[in-house]
Order: sequence, then structure tokens, then C-alpha cells
Amino acid sequence: MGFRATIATLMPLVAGCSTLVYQPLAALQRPLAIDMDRENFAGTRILLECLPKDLLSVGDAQKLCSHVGNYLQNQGAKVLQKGRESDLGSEEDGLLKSDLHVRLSARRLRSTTEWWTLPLVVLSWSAFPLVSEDTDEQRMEIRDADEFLLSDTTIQIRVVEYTGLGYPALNFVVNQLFREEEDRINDENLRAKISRDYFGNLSQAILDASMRSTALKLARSSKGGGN
Amino acid sequence: MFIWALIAIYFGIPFTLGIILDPSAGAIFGDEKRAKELDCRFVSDDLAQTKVPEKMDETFLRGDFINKSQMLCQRLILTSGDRPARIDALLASTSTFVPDIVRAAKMNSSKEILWRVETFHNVPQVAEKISTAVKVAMVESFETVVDEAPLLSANTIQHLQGKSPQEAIPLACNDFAETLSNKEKVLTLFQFHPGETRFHAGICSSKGKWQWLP
Repeated sequence: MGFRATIATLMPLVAGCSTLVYQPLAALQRPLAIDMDRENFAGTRILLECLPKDLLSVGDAQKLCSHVGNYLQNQGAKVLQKGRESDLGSEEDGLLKSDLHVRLSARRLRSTTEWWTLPLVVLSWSAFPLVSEDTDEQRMEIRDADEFLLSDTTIQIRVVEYTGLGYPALNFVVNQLFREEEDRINDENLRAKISRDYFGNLSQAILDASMRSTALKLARSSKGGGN
Repeated sequence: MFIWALIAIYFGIPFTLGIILDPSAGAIFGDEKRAKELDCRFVSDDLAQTKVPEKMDETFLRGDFINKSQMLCQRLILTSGDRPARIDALLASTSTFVPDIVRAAKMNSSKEILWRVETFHNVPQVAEKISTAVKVAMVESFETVVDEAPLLSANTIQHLQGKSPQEAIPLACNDFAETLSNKEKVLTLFQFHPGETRFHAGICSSKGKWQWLP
């Protein structure tokens, strides 16, 4: 195989010519009962915390909290981010003034690359793709104002990356010929689908936790009656 | 050249099959709907050996020096869209909230109670399914359950319209109480919000006392 042919094969790999495919795992198969188009959290005060550990760097955690905070505000909630309680005086004030404490974290469960296929990839001029995949777990922990755990939800997201020339080219052809716009495998749809699943499950978890909190308060107030 | 072609075919075919059979959406001709019909998770070799032994290669006791992982996928019995998502989500969660409710009811009552179960939901079939699930769970917990549910009078139904569940259910208890003996109680299930995926419960006793369950 000539030098130029080898370079031509490796260039797509080096340039990151790849297709990302999203697979929802485990809890993401659960349907959602919540209507995302409604203001589901009107009047609910939420203390939001994004833990900068494992998969989330400090910058990523801040970005996540910013996006989630905006989303929850669009759903009618009043959101306070942990670490910014100075606006209210103290950390205790932040907790006391919130109905729910939402804590978000993420970690990587698996990360693999099929390096053993590299000779095959090179021999086929990257018609066979180099396959790598990441499986991440997103955790959503929701507590009430007394730090009682109301809900602890985890979702798993798997993203498979096919790097090379063959698969992205084939995917492009299949996208154009067989898939509707919203079903096409591309980066834009990938981000949209992951966001939809993440925010959908987060909203469902917060709504369930909020109703559970209401039930607990009613139970505490009627404790001791009725036998 | 011929040997390289053979090597490419020998490794290429299973590799290509692996890509085609990958349950992620878009593996060649798959799509997201197909991915969502499969409930997939990564499992250990031991669990995979237990669940699908016919699909597993024999594992060597000393290991085979290859990192392997298994993804176990089950096709969902009902695919998304077969029934409304709200009802689907609710019925999929029964195994979570039904035991909680039964446990709370037992802890907040004395023994030798005759239980009646009433579920409020705007879809009668859903209410029936939830009631049945709760009754079965109570019987399995050695509680005595009566199959009949108390009925609300027409006056009460009219009186309750427009009220929230938190207000209406305790009022309905007054109506139920007239038909109950001293040893009978009504376990009442309802939702606070149509978008939540669980039911909440309370106990109505013969004296018209209403108790919320946690």
C-alpha cells in the first residue's frame, strides 16, 4: 500500500470525520407523563447544585447549572444556584427559602475504542470505521427543604462514534434517502435528542418529588389520627 | 494481496455484523424508534451467562485476556405509542409505588382490618388496574380485602366538582364512612397532578376520619 494511499486513509481518522449515534439505555425507555409545554413548576423554589466531579469539570458543572436553571425558570420555577446564596445572606437561607434541593452529577461508566480493528481500518482505506463508545450515567438527586431524599433518578446514555470515511458516507446516503429530517443521524439531532431525554426525565423527577413532598407534609400534619 | 483480502474478509464480516446488529439507533438502517423499543443495559458476564446461556461462549476459569462486556437487550412488550404516554408511565411505575402504599397502610393501622380499595382516575380502566394491583399486594401481605368499593352519592359527587384532590378526597371520606363498619377502612388512591407517575394514598375509617399516608 503506497504512502499516499496510507495518508489518504488516515486523514479521515485524524480529521475526526465521524458519525455519532445515540442510544438511550435503561431508564430512558420509560415514557414520560409530564407535559413539557406547560409551566409545571409555577411557584416552586428550587436550589440547584451541580457537582464538579467525575465527568463534570468546574466549568462544565457551571454550564450545566446555567442551562438547567434557565430551563426550570421557563417552566415557572424560581431557581437559586448553590454557591450564590450570598444574594440571600447565607447557605442556610438558600435551603430554607427553597422547596426542593436538586443535585446533579455525572460519571463515565464505560469508554472503549476498538483499537484492534485499526489494521482492518487502514487496509480498507477506512471503509470499515474505527468504533469507539462512551456510556455515561447522569444522576438527579432531589431532596426537600429538610434534606429528606424524595427522588434519586439515574439515566444512562450511550454514544457510539464511527470514525473513518465509509460509515459517515454511508450514513449520509441513508440520511438523504431513507430518513426523515428528525430521524437523521447527525450532530444536531444527537444534541436535540439527548437534551430532550435529559430535560424530560429531570422534569418528571422534579414533578414527582414535588408531589411527594406535598404528600409527606400532609401526612405529617395528620399524623396520629384515624385508627 | 490474496492473503490480505482473506484477512480483511475474516475479520471484516463479523465486525460489520456487529455494527449492523448494534442496538443503537442508526446502525446502518436502524432508527431511534427501534432503539427505544429495546431496553438495554450493560451486564456482567455472570449475569449474561444466567440470562442467555445459549448465546454466550464458554468462559475460561483463568480468564481469556480479552476485555469483554455484554449488553443485554429486551424488547418491550408494549411499544411506545400503543397507549398514551401518561398512562404508560403510570402503569410502568406500579411496582414502585404500590408496595410503598401497602406498607404505609399496614404501618398506620391496627391488625384485623377489613380493607376496601378505591382509586380515583379519569380513565376507569387505569383506576381498575391500580385498584387490582393494590388489592393483590395487600392480599400477598396477609391483609383481608373486600372486592367491593364504596360508592359516592350523587350529591357528594356534585359537591366535589371543582375541588382539588387534597380538598375533595377527605370530603369524600365523610360519604364513605356512612357505609363502613368499625373494622372496615377504605384505602383511597389518587393523584395530585395528572403529570406525575405515582399515586398517593390515604385511609378513611368508619368515623369519617381521614388520614394521609406518607
